[in-house]
Amino acid sequence: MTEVGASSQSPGVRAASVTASGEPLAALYQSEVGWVWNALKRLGAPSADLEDLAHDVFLAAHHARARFDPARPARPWLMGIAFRVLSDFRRLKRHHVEVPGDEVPDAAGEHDLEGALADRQQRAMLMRALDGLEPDRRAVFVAHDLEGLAMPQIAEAFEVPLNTAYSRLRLARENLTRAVEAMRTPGGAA
Amino acid sequence: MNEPIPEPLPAALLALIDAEKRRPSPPVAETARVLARLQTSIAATGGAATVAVASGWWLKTLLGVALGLPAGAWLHATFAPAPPPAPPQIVYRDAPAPQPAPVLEPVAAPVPVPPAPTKRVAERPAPRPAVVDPGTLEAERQLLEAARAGLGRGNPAAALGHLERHHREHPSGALSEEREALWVQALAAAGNADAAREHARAFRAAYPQSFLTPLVDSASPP
Repeated sequence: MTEVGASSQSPGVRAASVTASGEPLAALYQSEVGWVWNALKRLGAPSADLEDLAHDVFLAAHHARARFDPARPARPWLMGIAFRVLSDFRRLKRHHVEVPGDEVPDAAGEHDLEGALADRQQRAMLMRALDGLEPDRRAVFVAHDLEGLAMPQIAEAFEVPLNTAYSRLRLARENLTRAVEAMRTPGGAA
Repeated sequence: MNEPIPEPLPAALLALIDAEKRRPSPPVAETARVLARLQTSIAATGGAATVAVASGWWLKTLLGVALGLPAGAWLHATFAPAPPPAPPQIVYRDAPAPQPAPVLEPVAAPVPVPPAPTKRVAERPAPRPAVVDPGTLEAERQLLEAARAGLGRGNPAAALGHLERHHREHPSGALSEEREALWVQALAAAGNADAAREHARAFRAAYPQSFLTPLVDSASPP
């Protein structure tokens, strides 16, 4: 199966680089749709709603294109939009609880079936642990530790003071570590 | 400013984070569906409307989506501080005289395909009105939906008929951008590759920042 938007792309991808063709939003969609999709998943979007939410993120980006600064990295901007879209979704729909471990099997590029299975199990464990976090802490953890965004960019994207962002990251890591250790303990919350 | 440096990641999380970073990207089919829906949504919320407000823009945008077309038009009229200059309009100098929109025919029936436009002249039409009448916008949207439905049924001639009617009735309409993108798709679907290519080239020139460019490129690669 063909894939798009390689998630391994440098998080520092700059809007300027995608505006070279003169079609910044179209290029932005093409280069970042895969990244946005996975970021939403990591932020806690239910799998069944990923398509709707990815649509909403890019629609919001389309309408906010006047605020799009091509001299700055695009991903923090998209991350902020994704976080707000997901927050609204949760507030309006009240069904934000993802079924733990609802990993959708995807054989794309997974020729090492054993390794792929191990990856899926580890991803499922991380997702279960993330589901126990407060959304604000989860968002900072996802943006920094999973997406590799810089803390000042994260603080700006989520519209919080830098120290608040650092505090959320520290608390998120502590909470996650405890949750993962509990899952790994025989008879724990696995 | 001295910024705190994040502590190294706890060992308990490292393997999980590495596995998560190897999460496969979504399949193209799913992201293609998102793009197709974006096309409809952008049309329904006022085409190339720019919602530029100091704060809360995203909530208002989502509100526009949730409330549907009239609200989208209202948002456009309310929050766009100044309408963007209308893009150059594509004019078909040697196009045939306007024909009534063809009645939808079964796919197998022979249907006329409009001749390929051969000359285009970029003109700057009157600026798009600051306030888009919701009734007009709805009429535009219905024509484009009919065209899109024709394409979906594999009947590009019917789609082209609806697009021509839109061009006739709303030459500088709020959804002109969406019409022109659909036109490329319809021409390509009708097997008129030369016309599709020409139309696509004009589209890219007229709407260099369009969100619909991937659809146009998909129908007629640059």
